[in-house]
Amino acid sequence: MRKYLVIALFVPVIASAQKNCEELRAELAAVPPITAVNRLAGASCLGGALDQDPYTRRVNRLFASAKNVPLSDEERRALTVAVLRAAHEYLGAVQAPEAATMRAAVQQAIRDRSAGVESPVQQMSYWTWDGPQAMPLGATGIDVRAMAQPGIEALVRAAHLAERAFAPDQARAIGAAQAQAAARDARWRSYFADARSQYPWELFVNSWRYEQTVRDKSGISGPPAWQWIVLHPDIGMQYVRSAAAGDRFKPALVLELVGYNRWSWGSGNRPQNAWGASLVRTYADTASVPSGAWGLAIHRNSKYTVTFTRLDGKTGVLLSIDLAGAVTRTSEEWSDRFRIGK
Amino acid sequence: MSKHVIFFVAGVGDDEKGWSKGLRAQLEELFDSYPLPAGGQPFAEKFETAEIFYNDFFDDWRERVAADARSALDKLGGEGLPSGAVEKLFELGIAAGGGGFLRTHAMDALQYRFLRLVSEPVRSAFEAQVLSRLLDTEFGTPARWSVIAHSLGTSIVHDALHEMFAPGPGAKDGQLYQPYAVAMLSNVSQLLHNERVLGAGVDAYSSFVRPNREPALGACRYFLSSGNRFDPIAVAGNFKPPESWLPETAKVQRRFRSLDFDAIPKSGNVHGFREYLAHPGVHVPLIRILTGDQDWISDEQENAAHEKYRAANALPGANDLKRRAIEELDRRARGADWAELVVVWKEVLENFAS
Repeated sequence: MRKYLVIALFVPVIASAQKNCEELRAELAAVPPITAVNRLAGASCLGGALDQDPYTRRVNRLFASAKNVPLSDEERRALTVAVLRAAHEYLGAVQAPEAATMRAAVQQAIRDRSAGVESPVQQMSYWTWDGPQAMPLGATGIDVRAMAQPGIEALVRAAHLAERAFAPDQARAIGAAQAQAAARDARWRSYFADARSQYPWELFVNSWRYEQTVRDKSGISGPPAWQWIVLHPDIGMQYVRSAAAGDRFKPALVLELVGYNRWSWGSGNRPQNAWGASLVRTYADTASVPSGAWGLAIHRNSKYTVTFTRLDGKTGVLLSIDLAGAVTRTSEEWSDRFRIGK
Repeated sequence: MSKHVIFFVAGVGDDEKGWSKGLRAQLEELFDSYPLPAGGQPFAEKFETAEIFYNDFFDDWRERVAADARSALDKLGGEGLPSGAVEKLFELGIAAGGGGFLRTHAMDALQYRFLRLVSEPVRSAFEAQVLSRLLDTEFGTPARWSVIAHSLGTSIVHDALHEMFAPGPGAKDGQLYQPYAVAMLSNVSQLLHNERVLGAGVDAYSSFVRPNREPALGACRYFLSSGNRFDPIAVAGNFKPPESWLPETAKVQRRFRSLDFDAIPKSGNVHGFREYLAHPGVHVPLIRILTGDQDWISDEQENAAHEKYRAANALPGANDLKRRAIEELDRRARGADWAELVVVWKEVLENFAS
C-alpha cells in the first residue's frame, strides 16, 4: 500500500519534469535556428505527439481513432491519404517559397497513393529528416539551412506529418515480418529441444547438409524438417525370447551407425508425425546369445525407438527411449528399469 | 510517444539473460554525464534500450547432449561398457557440455562461423527479438531503432541485417523498418564473413550492410565501426572498407564513421564492451549520431572528456610489461592462422580482463 502511495506522489512530479514544447522553445531562443528546430523535432514538438499545432492535433486524432483497429488495405490507404491531406493543407498556409516545393511533393504522394501507384514520395524515408548533420531534408531536395526558424519549423513539421502518413504501412510490415520471425524462432528452439539430440559430430554433419539446402535462399531460413543420425550412442532393453532365462531381458548399448529422421512442422511450430530409421549395432552382456548384433531401429516422434536385431539366427527386440527423453521426460520408474544391477 | 530503441548485442561468453543491464545503464550515465544542451532531453525521455539474447542456442544444445551422454554412462557405468569406442563417444558428448574458455568463447565463435545450424538460429533470434520490440511502437509513429554490437555480436548483426534487408524475394517491405544507426565495436564482421551465408563473392565490404539514406541502397542510415588499436581482436578484425564502399552522397553526408582509438584502459581489458563504450572516441560520436545533433556535445566538452579519460587511463610507457604483452598479442593477431587467433583471444580475455 505504501509503495503505491509513494508512486502516486512521485509520478506527477516526474511527469511534470518533462518540459512542454513552449518551455523548450523558450530555452532554445539563443540557439542557432537549425539546431533549435532539430531539438524541437527530437522532442516531438514538430508534427509529433506533443505538438499543439492544429494540423498536427488533427493527425494525432486520426491515428488515435484507428489505434488498435485492424485496418484493411483500403482503410490504411484512406488513413494515409487523410494524413497527407492534413500536411498538404498545412503547407498551404506556410509563406516560405520552399513550402510550395514540398506541397507539390505531398500532392504527388496523395495522387499516387489514391491511385495505388508506387513512387519514391510514398516511402517513409523520403520524408525522414536526419537533422542538420545530413542535408537536404529527407529526399525532398530542400536545404533548410539558410532559412529562418519559422520556415524551417514549418517544413520539418510538414515532412514529419508526411512521414507519419506512412507509419501504418511500416506497422503492417513489422507485424507481418514479426509473425514470420516469431514462428521461425519457435521452430528453431523446438528443433534443438524436441528433435532427437545431436552429438557434436552429428551437428557438424547436419549443418553441412543444411547448408546445401539453404545456400541459394535469401533471407533468414527456418530449421530443417529432418536430421541425419551418425554414430549416435544410446541405451535400451534387449528382449530375446529364445535366449536362456538370464539373457532374455538385458540392458543393451546401442550404436546407431547411420540413420535418418524426418517430420513435418505442426501448427504449434513443433515437429509432428516424425518417423526415422537407423542401422544399428547393439551390445549386451549375454552368454546364451551373441553379445553383439546388427539391427534396424525405427524411430517414432523423435522419442520412441524399437530395434530389431538378429543374434545367431534369433530375433531380438530392443526398446529404447531417446536419451533426452530418458533424462527429461520419462517417469522415474521407467528410468530405473534401465539401471543395470537393479 | 515512441522512443528510439537501442539494442545491445554481445559477443561470446557465459552471458545470461539480463547480461546488458550494466551496459545499458552505462550508456545512459554517459549520455546524462554531459551537460544537457538547451532544449535537450535526458536519455530516458528519448531512448529505450533492449538486449538481444542468443546464448541459449549455444548453451541448450551443449547442456542437452552432455546430459544425455552423462545419463547413459551413469546407467551403464556399473557394469562397464562393452565397447571402448562407444564410451569415447559418450565422453565426447559430455565434454561438449563442459565449461571453460574453449567451449564458451572459442567454440561459440567457431560454431557460429562454421556451423549453419548454429548461426542461422542465432540470426533468427536477433530478428525475432528486434521485431517483437518494434511491435510496441505507438501507432502512427515511425519506429526508429539502432544497434550497438560488440565482438562476435558485430558479425551476427552484420549477417542478420544482410539477410533481413538485402534485396531479394520478400525483402521489399524490409525497407520500411531498417535500423537508423549500427555501431560495431571491435568489428570482426569482415574477418568472420561467410560467403555461404552472404552469397557467393560477398563479404562485409560488398554486402548490403552499408549506410545510405535510401533504404534500397543500404541496410541502415548510419554506420559506426570502432577498433581499439591495442585490442588484438579488433586488430585481427581489421575492418577497413575500401573507398568504393560508399557512394559520394553517403560520404558527403558522413554516413560512415570510423572510430578507431589507442587506449589501454585501467582495467587492462583492451577488448571489453564496457571499455569501448567508456572511451569518448566512441560514445561522443555515437551520442551525436543517435540524437542527430552534432552540437549535443560541444567540441570543448568532447576535448574535456578525452582529457579526463586519459588522466584516468594513462597509456603505459613503451617498456611497460603489460603494454609489451598486449603489443605482442597484437602482432600475433595480425596473422591469418585461425588456431593462433583463438589462442590470442584466450590470452586477451584471461590475462587482461578485469
